[in-house]
Amino acid sequence: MKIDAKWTLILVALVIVCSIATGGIYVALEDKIAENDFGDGDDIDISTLLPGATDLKKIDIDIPEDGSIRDVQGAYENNELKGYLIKTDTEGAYSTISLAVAITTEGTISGIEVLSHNETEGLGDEIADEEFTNRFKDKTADSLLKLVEEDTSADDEIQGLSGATISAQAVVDGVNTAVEFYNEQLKGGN
Amino acid sequence: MSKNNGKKISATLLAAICTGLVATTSLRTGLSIGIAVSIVLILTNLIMNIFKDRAPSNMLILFYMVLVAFLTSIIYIITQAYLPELIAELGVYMPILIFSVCIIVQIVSGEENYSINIALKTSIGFILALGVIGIVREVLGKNYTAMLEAPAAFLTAGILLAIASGIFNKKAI
Repeated sequence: MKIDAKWTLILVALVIVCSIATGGIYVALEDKIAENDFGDGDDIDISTLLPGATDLKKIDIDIPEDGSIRDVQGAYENNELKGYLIKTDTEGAYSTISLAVAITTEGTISGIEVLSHNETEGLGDEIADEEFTNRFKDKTADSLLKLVEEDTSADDEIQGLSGATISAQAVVDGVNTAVEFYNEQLKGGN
Repeated sequence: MSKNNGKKISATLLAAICTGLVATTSLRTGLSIGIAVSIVLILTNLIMNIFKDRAPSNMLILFYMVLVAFLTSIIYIITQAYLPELIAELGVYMPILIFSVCIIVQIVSGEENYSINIALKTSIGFILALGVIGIVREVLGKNYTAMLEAPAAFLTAGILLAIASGIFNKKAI
């Protein structure tokens, strides 16, 4: 079979032009696509984090530019606002920890969930266990939480994890970021 | 010639429909894939007119594939931006489907003229067929979830083909 050098070059040129054009269109629409990507919102079962709530809906609120808050959604039961789901990113010992914090309209942390992390196996990864996340349950959002090593003595204290202080502190920081955001922007309805 | 052409279109159409069946769980997805495939098919054949008399004939299929891939990517990106609900339902199957259907249409029809005529006829038939199969499966799927499974797509296609053959009193293929 005779190979046509000229047309092979034209074909290569066509491939390059098409690639550049595709890339250009993607870059032009990138922001729009990112906007549509609701990420991991779908795999959160809000009824376990905020008892009574059945749906998550986007709410109209300004999210801080610094990236500490990733997403804020309203948790509803039959169109009645029951609370908020606030997603935050926080720096752990080795990785970024993504959290979902549910705070009721009454100002109580009804539950938290570690969405993703990459902490040390066997130590830091205990932050994702229910045994740890349940320690945040029913804490008040009136004040910021503190991590303590011993048994808790006050209501705003969270017992840490031995061998995973930094990871546990990161989770507390993340929850506090959500609590601060709640107190500044969401408290008392909007 | 025209009889031969009709037969060619039927065979091409059937091959295209069987590939497109995965998108026929509802009217909306069926129609969307139908329209997307038609856009790519017609535009590609239009652009192929530039090459078909100039480039060596054994290289034409390469140009065809590059163009199909290019247009499919663009449609996929635009859909991601403006019709996210469709992507949520079809996901990555959407570009895979469009590309496969267009290549299969070209291979089965064996059309070396890259004529708009056949592309147009195949497209209209394809949109109609996917739309009808989609609506049947959507309506029946409300009561029988089995209708949303893959085998039901072939069953529906077969039964509809039989009905169509009966109505027009001739072999559909």
